[in-house]
Order: sequence, then C-alpha cells, then structure tokens
Amino acid sequence: MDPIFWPLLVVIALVGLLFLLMPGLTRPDVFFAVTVDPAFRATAEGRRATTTYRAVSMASSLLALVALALAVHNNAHEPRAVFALVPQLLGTTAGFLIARRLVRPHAAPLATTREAVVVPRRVALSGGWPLQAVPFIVLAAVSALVALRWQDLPARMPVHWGLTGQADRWMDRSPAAVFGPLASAGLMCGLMLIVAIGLLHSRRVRVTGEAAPGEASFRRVTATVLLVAELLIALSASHPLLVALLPSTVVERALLVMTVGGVAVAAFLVALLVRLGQGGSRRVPLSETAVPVGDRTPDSKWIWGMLYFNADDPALFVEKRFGIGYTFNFGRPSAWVLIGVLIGIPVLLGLLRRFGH
Amino acid sequence: MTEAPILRIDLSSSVPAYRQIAGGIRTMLVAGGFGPGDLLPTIRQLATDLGLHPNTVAEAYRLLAEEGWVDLRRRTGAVVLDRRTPRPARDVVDGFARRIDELVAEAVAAGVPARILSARLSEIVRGLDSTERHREK
Repeated sequence: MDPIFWPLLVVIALVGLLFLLMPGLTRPDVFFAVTVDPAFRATAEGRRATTTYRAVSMASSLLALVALALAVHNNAHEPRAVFALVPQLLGTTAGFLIARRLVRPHAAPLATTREAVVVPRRVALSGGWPLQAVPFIVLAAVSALVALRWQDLPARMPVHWGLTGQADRWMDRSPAAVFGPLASAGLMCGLMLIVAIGLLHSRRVRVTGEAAPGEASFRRVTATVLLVAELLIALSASHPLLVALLPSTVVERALLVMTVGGVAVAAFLVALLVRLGQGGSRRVPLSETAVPVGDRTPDSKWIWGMLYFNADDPALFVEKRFGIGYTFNFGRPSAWVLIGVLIGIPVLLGLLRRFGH
Repeated sequence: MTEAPILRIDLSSSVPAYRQIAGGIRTMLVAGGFGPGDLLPTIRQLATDLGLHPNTVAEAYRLLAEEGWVDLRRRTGAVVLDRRTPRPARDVVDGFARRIDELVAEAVAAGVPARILSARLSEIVRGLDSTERHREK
C-alpha cells in the first residue's frame, strides 16, 4: 500500500471530526451563519438542521475515504491523492448550505443596540516585540549564512519533500531561487504580523460581563497561532538551505524538533480555541446571551454565510460565522489589497523557483 | 480597578447616532469619568466597535470639541480638556428646565413610575455633588 494512505486517512478523520463539531463552536446566537435566538438550537427545527448538516458532512467524509482508497488502489501518488479531500470539503459545504436554508426562516432581527468601551485600545502582541521578531531574525540569519557560504551550496538542492519524506522538487543554485523564498517568507511573516495587529484591533463584539474577557483571550490565542505559523514559515523557507550547508544530522534533528514543537504548540492553541468557542463564547453563561446580538454584523451582508461584504462597516476583520477565527470584510478595499499580496507571495515564490531552474 | 466606561447607543432611536455618542460621552465627562489629558478612543476604533461610519463618530467628537470638552488631534485622537463650566444665561437654564419637564412627562406617559424617576434624578444630583467635591479637593 502507498505510504501516503495513512497520513491522508488521519487528515480526513481529523477534518471530518472538526466538521462534526463545528455547529457547537459558533456563538450561541449565530447558527449556521444566521442570527437566531440562542434557545433555537435546542428546538426541533434547530436539531433537524444540525442533524442534516452532520449526516451530509459524515457522508462526504466517508466519500473522501472511498476516493482515497480508490486513488491508492489506482497507484495515484501525491499530489493527486490529496484530491480525495475535495468531496469532503464540497459535501460539508453543501450540508452547511442546506442547514442554513432550514434555519433562515427563524432568523432573529438584528439587535439595534450597540456598545463600546470608551478607552483607547492598547494591544499587546504575544511575547512582545522580541518574540515577534524571532521569525525575521531566523530568516535574516539564514540569509547571512547563505551569503557567506555561497560556494558551499550544492548546484542542485531538494526544496520539497512529500508526505512520505521523499524529496520531490529541486532547485538550482541561483540568487533568485535561493534568496527569493527567504524574502517571500519574510514578506509573508510581515503580512501575518499586520494581520495579527489588525485582529487585536478588531471589533469588540461584547464589551460587558463574562463575555468580554473570554473574547479577549480568544483574540490573543488567535494572534499567537499566527506567530507560530510565522515561525513555521520561516523554518520551512530556511530548511532546504540549512540542510545543504550544515552537518545534516544535527540540522535535521534540530529542525525536526522545532517543527514538531511548532506543530504541537499550534495544535494545542487550536484545541484551546475550540475550547473557547468562536469569540470565546463557550465561556459565557447562556443567561448573558438571552438577547441575540450575534456577531454585530447584519445577516444580509453575508453571502452564503461565508463571505462578508459591507462597505458601511469600518471593520477590516470580522468573526467567521461558521468555524473558528476571523475573516475579511470584503466590502473594504484594504481587504482586497491584503488578499492580493497574500496570494501574490506564493505565486511569486513559485515563479522564482521556476526562474531559479 | 474601576470599571471601563461603556457607551451604549440605539440605532432604532429617533435621536441621530452622533448625538447619542456625544451625549453618552458628555455624561461620562460630567460624571468625572475622565480627567484633563485623558485620551478618548480614536475615531476609527469607536466606529469599528459601534459598527458605524467613521464620519458619524467624527461628527460626535466635533460636537464635543465645539462645547470645549475635547481637543481634536490628528494622530492621538481626542484629548479631554480642563473645561471651565460657563455661567449659563437665563434662557439656557429655562430651556433645559423645559426639556427636563418634557422628558419627565414623556417618561410618566410611557408608564415609568414617578418614584423611579425621582430616585434617578436624586442619584444624578448626588453623583454631580460628589464629582464637584472631588474636584475641589
């Protein structure tokens, strides 16, 4: 059996489990991306929507497993085998849209009251600036090392390893192919830092009661996930060069420890986010959510409950309505600029690697 | 630790949002919630939290600046000023007395018991006296 089978099986199982948990992670008054009375979930119609979604999602996960088994049976290798995940994503999205349709007739009117803390926002990045600088320091140090030992770099180096650990993409020694990915990683980390700062400045949905500290914790943990992701990006960009330049056993071991550590921390933080619920809402007693305020965005500005377009809302980031974390307000031009750059960097990276060949 | 001041507005009210914002902040300023030199949130922050256009918050801040409560600065936002209470003209006092009469009548007509109104007004006066005493110290 192709060794890719087991990692993908675990991915499908974990993603499937997360999809099943999803309805329970949203704010109590946001149900399948519709603002409802918090008590609605427990009604017969509410339970029907959840059951329908879970049945469709579970069926699509099973379909993904069948697709994976077929792909492996037909000797499809990575990346084709990864396409087995597609039915799971599409099926769960369909399940969500069906459930949303069931919930929409029960939408609660948007609360007309708004509240805000009249105190200037002081945001503190996780670990402060010294810790935030680590990914950039790593990239700068590796760039300096490569510049100093340029002649020691082999003419051809592996840059990508498949899920099974075998090198499957290579690059030649050229300034564009070597420094391009490091610069792109630096740019990506910079953008993620900007996103983290933006998240910390994002709207406070609930500013009073037990909900406020829970929401603050949720925001802090989300920003920390971004920092860990920056570290992993810096490590992944540095990895091929360090392997080529330094004693391989030491580097391999150090990078493995750092990567496994980073992934473990990221998994812990994601588990923490799941425990907190969207916007820290799982910490809030139900009595505090008696009046549905949702996430303080109007239902009418959400397309399929997934994309928020509201030019009248100054917020750049808003909470996702289904799932954990934040999404862009696509009604703001600055969101498109950020998305353009975020998509542009990997494209640039791919071009640089191709150019490097 | 003192509670953070919370501003509440109602978009369904007939009072424009910028007036509600200015009114809410003015109440905090009169109650001594801010001292001279304190910073108010930036226009963007308050607009984001309230989900309103920044111009609405800017209009409220301009109103407070015209009344001498705050100084608007481009980078730091609004800074609370040490405002001297003006000596009101007779017609200004009469105008406010009329507005209180109208507001009380409106509340009574809506079924709010007189004792609740009386208790609330006494509470406001007690709060003002205490702020005054605090300032004199």
